[in-house]
Amino acid sequence: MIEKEVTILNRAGLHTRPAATLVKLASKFKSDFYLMQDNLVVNGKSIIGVMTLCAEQGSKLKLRFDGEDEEEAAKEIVDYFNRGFDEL
Amino acid sequence: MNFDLIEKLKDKDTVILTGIPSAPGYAIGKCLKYEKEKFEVYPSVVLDVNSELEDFQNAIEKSKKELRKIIDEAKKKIYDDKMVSIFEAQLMVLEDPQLIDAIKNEIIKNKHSADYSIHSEFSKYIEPLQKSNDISHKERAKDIEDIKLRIIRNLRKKRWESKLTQSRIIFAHELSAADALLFVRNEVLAYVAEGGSLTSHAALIARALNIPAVFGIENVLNKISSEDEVIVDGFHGLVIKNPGPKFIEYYRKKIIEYDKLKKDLSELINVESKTKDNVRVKLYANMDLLSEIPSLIAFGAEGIGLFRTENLFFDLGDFPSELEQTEIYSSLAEKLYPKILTIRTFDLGGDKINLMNYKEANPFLGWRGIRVLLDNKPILKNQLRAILKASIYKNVRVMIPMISSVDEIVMTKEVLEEVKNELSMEKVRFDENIPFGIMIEVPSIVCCLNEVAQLVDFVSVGTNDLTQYLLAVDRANQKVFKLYQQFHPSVFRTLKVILNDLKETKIEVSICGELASNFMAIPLLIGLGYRYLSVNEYLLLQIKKLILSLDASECENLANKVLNACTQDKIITIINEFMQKIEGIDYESL
Repeated sequence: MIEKEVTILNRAGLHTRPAATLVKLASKFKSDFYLMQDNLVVNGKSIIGVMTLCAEQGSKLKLRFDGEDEEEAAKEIVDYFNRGFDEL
Repeated sequence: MNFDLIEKLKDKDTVILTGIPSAPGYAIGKCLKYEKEKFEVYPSVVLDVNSELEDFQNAIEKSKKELRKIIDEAKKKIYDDKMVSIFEAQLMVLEDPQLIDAIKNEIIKNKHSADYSIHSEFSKYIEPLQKSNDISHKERAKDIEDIKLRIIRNLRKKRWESKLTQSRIIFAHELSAADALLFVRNEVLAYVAEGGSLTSHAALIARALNIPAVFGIENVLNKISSEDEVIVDGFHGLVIKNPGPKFIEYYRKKIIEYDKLKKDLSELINVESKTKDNVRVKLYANMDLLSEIPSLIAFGAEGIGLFRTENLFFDLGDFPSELEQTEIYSSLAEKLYPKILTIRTFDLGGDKINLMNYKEANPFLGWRGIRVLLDNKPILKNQLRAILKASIYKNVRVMIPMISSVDEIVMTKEVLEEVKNELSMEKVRFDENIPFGIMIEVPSIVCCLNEVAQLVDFVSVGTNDLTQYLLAVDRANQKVFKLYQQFHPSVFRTLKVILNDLKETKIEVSICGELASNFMAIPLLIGLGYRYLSVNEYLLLQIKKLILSLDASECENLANKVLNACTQDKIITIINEFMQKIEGIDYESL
């Protein structure tokens, strides 16, 4: 299991487009993927779950990857966060 | 549109409804009430679980098919990915394994009907979003709700009729993004809705598709009937029921002219704004919402003359932190460079956002603008820090609202110096000589301009508040509304004094109130000597067109006549005479 902390960098935050991209990315991998914000845990492969996160610019999220390809999944998804969802 | 004109045009039974102007344009036509069936959902137990599961699966497949069509349509008509992704995410919800499994489980384990299972599982996600204070989360709740209704409707094998047999103006309780898109296939003329705002997804789509829209009219469905004839004015947020022949004639002309204007104006974007006798009049734009920036540049503004930062509370839904403000101001300054960005510090209070839930008997005469900021120095300092950090490109100016005395300028500048020192200590880069300006909107400060001139680099006249304070009339008060005269002689005499007192200085004097966007007032403002106007972005090119057809020396004669007139009626008569003589401009069309 891998846990990483990421910060939302783009101005608009985790809005609909990055939410959809994130779920698509996560679905490529076999590993489970969860996002944690305060006490809320959502399944990163569920778009409706990700859409309920209120992650604005500057907020921090914890990501958890668990499964056979967790390394690759973590690398690719953390990278997407670090690129500010390609909106910087 | 002014009160007198409405009186002149309206019929006996004309009814005028006002809402939020959400997408520009005009329409005349018949109404169609678009009332979505309300699907009541009750907990009920089913006997045949398998057939319930099958019905559910069919409803999902049918909904997917509809959404794929919507996405195709969106891709064809809207070029903005962000808007298309609203629909793509909806499609993904239909394929969401966690959600779909939970609904199936509800049917299998609890033997609940499919519609009740859908309703209860979706509610787990929708309710927290609806409770959020953030407008974008509320919008997201609407997008998810729309999907839920789509599945339930397909379960009951119903259709929403979004096909029009004839062109109609659509009236709805609330329009979803998909609704706003689908009616376009059938020549919709305009959208009117009870709910919604400038930032709702339906408004974004209406603007992208050039369909006029007026949202936020309370109870509108009870005020009109299908097949009523109405006019929709998306510029002013008006819906006119039973307009009568004069109103229709007036708007028919407007529609023809607006279409022609749209064609002509695009050619004016890169033309320098000056009068026929070569007097340069610089045109800035006023900015309310962050999303306006691409069009501001497209419409050829020479900079932002007024960025109303209090609107960040609407955009962000919360108190913007120094970090958030820094990012917003920096990215704006960068996008606009080398054009200037004038950032007005939060103008809180009055009729505007009231953060502290604080009530007072006379808000307009109370705790607002700089008064609030000087009493809450941490807020002021945070904002000034963010503005300074954004000033590295040297195209940022800071402007202070509601200044009524020289003391307030001195105190604010002390805070600014303090913040500059802090930033220097922290080795943060900023523009040491950031231009500092004030709004002129309280009459008392007009009497102190010689002293003001020693302290500021520029001033901008807010004519709305200035007029309100000169006339002692609260614009929002229906009883005295008629006494609020934009063309009252005192307004123009005061504007003259302001320029006279600052004539010998290098201080830039601009006007950013509604008067600067009023076609009747523009020749007069130029005649008085104003050379910087900060205007509504949607009108900027039309204003440029007017300026190009004016002669500054004739405007000066006009101003001299107006300064001698003693009533608003006389002033309007003088301006009307003047406007009729301008070649190539039918001022009523503007």
